[in-house]
Parts: sequence; C-alpha cells; structure tokens
Amino acid sequence: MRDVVIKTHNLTKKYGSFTALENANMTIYQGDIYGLIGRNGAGKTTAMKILTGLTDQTDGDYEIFGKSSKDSASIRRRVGCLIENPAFFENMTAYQNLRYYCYQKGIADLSKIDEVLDFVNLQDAKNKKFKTFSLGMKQRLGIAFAIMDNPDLVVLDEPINGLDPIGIAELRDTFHMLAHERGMTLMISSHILSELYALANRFLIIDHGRVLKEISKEELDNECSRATVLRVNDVKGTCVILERDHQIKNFKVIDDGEIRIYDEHLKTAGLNRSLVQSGIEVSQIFEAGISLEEYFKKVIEEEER
Amino acid sequence: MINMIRAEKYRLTKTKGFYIFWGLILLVVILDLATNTIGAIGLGVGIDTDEMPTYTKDIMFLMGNFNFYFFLLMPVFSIVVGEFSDHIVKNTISSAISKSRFFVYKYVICVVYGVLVFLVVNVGFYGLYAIFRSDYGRADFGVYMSRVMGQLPLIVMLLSVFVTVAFLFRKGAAYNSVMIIAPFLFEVILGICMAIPGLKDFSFLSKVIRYEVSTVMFNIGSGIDFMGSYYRNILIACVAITVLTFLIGYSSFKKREL
Repeated sequence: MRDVVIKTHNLTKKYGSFTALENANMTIYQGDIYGLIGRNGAGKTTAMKILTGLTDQTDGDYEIFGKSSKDSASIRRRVGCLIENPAFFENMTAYQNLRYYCYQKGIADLSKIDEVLDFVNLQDAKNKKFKTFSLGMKQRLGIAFAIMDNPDLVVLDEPINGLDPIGIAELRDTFHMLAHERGMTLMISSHILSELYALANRFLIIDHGRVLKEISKEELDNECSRATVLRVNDVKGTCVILERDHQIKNFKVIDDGEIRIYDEHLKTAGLNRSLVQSGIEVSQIFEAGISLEEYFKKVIEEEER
Repeated sequence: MINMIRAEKYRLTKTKGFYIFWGLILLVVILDLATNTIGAIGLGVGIDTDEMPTYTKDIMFLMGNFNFYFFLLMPVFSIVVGEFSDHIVKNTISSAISKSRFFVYKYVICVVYGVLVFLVVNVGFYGLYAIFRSDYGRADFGVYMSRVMGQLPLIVMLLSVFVTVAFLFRKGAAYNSVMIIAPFLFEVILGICMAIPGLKDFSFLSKVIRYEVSTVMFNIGSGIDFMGSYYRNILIACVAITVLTFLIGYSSFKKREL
C-alpha cells in the first residue's frame, strides 16, 4: 500500500454566497501524477490554493503528509508549487530570482539553481531579466522554482500553458522523470486533456466546485479505450476461442456477459462466425471507446442531467 | 527569520530603489553640510519660529527628523509592496512560510532596517558635521544621542503604520498615494481649523497640534524633559499605535485571500 500524501475530507470553500468548492474528497498517493480536470471556474485552482496554504477552507479539512491543515505550515518545505501565472521579480534575472528563494528556503547549495535551470532548459537565459521572458520561459522558470528544493509534492496549475509543442513534450518527459526517478508526487491541472491523459495516472473530474469522479488511468482506459465489445452467453468459452483460434490476448472480461477486445486489427466477421460455430450466442458486437475529452463531457452532461 | 533577512538583503541590493534611497539621503546630508542650512519638511503648525532660540546645526538636523517620514516610505515599499506585484508573494507562502510568519518577518525586517537607517543617518550626520562644520559649534554627543533615542519610538510607530498600510493596500500606487498625501491633507485640515475664528484656542485642537508627529519630532530634537508628562504621553501613544497597527495588519493579512 502506497503512502497517502494528500487526503481531503469534505473540503469546502465559499466566497460569500458563491461556493467555489463543495465537500471535495480526494486522495493522492505517493508517486501519483494526479490530474485535475475541470472547466474554468470549476474549483481546481481553489483546491490547489487551499492545499498549498494560500487560502483557508470554509469547511472540511485535509491532511498533507499525515499532518492536518492546522499543522501544515511545518511541512511547506516539502511542497513545491506553481499556482496560476508564474510571477517573479521583473527586474531581477532568472538566476537572481531563484537565488532569492534559495536564501528564503535556507538552501545552502546554490549549485541547485544551475541544476534546475538546466533541467528546464533555461541555462542560456539565466542572466536575462524576468520581464524579457516569453510566457513559455516564465512557465519553465516557475517549474524550476517549484522543484528547486527537491520537494516530495509538486502542485502545478496549468503548467503547460503557453508552451510550444516541443516544450510540452519536453515537460511531459520531465514530469515523468520527476515522478518515476525522483519519486515526487505531482498534482497537475490542465485544459489540454490529451496532455493530461499522457501524463497522469489518476484523475479528478470537478465541476461547479463538486467532485464528479476520481478515477485511475486503468479505470479510465476501461471506460474510454477504443475496443470491440462482445456480449455473449458464454464468457469462458469465448476466452478460449479468442486465445486458441484467434491468438488474441489483449482483452478484458468486464462482467458475466461482456468482453472488451483491444485489438485494432480484429476481424469481427471471422470472430463472430467462429463463436457461433462453437455454439456461443453472440447478442452484440460493437465498437466502443471515447477520448478523455469526450469522457469528460459525458461525465459533465450526466451530472447536469 | 535569518533566511528571510538574508533573502531580503540579497534582493534589496539588486534593486535600483535601494541605491536611489541611499543616494537621496546622502544628497540631503551633503546639501545640509555644504550650505550649513538644515532642510526639513514639517507640518509647521504651532511652531513660532520668531521665538526659537539659536540651536547648533546638528541639533536642528534632529529637529527636522520628520524628513524620515518620507525617507522610510521607500524601504517599506521595496520590502513589502514589491512582494505583492503580480502576486509574487504566493511563491513564499505556498512553499516557504505561513501567512502569519510572513507578516511577522516582513514587519520585523522593515522595523529593524528602518531603525538602522535612522540611527546610521543621524550618527553619520553628527560625525560628518563634527569633522567639517565643528567651527560653527556642535552639541555634546551624549545629549545628541539621547534625543535621537528619544525620537526612536516615533520612528518605530511610523514604520509600524507604513507596514500595516502596505499590507492592507498591497498596491504600490495606493500605498504611495495614501502615505504621501496623508501629512499634507492633515496640514490642510489643520490649517483650515486654525483659520476659523475661535477654533484656534479650542483645547482639543491645541493638543492635536502639540502631539502631531512633526511637532513632537521637533520638540524632542530641541530638547524636552524625558521624565515629564508630555514625553510620557508620547511614549504611551507610540506604543499603543505600534501595537494596534501590528495587530490590525497581522489579523487582516492572516485572513486575506492570495
């Protein structure tokens, strides 16, 4: 069982009569890349702000590294984050900005600055003032700041905004490396759902401040992946025929009467014939599967209904 | 705290404002010494210059220490308001320290830095005056320093007000407008009150004039009885305002959304 990094209990945030977050429950485990999906104003940033101490919840509570929200100040050093737009001192260079935060966090080893600037490909721009940076460069400096202190948890709000396709691909590799090689836990929100799908292993769908679904990538794949769905009366017999006669191994038994086959080159007519010839009743064969974006829309629509 | 001081020292020395601030102070000191005339901003109400005894110029420099009201606006601006432009403060709060600690650290840094500036400039002026202008007569160092120390509670109080206003407004334009206009607005209102027949002798108005900051600075600089009720009242007011503004700033920032 992996350690729990963040656990929220009915987290609620109200601004006057407006509820930005309502009874939100989520659990983030160590090593997760946790993707937050939601429309503008859904409550993603509010959740991140509460968890990083930038604002207080109106109701509910959360635990971060086992400490309650009241004691969370002592573990702030274990959290790196970039919330909303990356902001630094305009008239200071990238290096000077990071050095300022090194002093502030008590990081004695200043070589870490060059290390993280290298990591986000900003070494050449280290002596340029922040005000001359493009949006993409600002985002990368924000990420450098977030990971500078080797935090255990990194919270990134829209980190790939403003990046070009190559930059996005590089960051994707960077995030994978942080999670898999350095063992960091990442919480990321993004509007680019295809990117989030490529990155995260668990997802939280949130809308109008309410958590609609917390789902792992595996579960999501089961619900979203392009697959051929077979509805039969004999699942066991069908499995034997799939493996023995058609050499298909990439399939999953969903329930008593349903099998999903993940094979792009499947010849459904031939499969149907062999199943029928073996005495298996095939009630349905159809193509299923949707993208994360379509899945997100589906969940939202279901909720609105 | 040490980390914050180191970080702040590093950042301040990387800003133009730091050098402009010290350049301006140096310019005032040099002009005072070169012309042997003390330039000072005061609200000027209630001071009858015709009846003023003759003071040595170093003492007159102390009497004009209301100048520090305007000087000390600058470091508070750099240390506090700078953090709020583009919400830079989020970087610190989310990964280094809590909001309450952030306020306390910034408050302490501003007050310590402001007090250091006040002491360095006054002691520096005394030294330079003694070296270059001693032929015009100078005050005893002990007397001079006792008056400097006597003015210190007012400086701490002013810094406390500045920090709290900076945390409340958080925007450079708002902070500067309010803090720069406030003394002039006060002077205009007081001037109008003084012009109204009969109101000049109103005891409350006389008290306001007597306890107004530039007059208090002037009086302490010129020499008052530190054991008397006038200074005791000043001390009580300074401590009360310092504590009150600290509490207002602390509690409002702790609840503030970032």
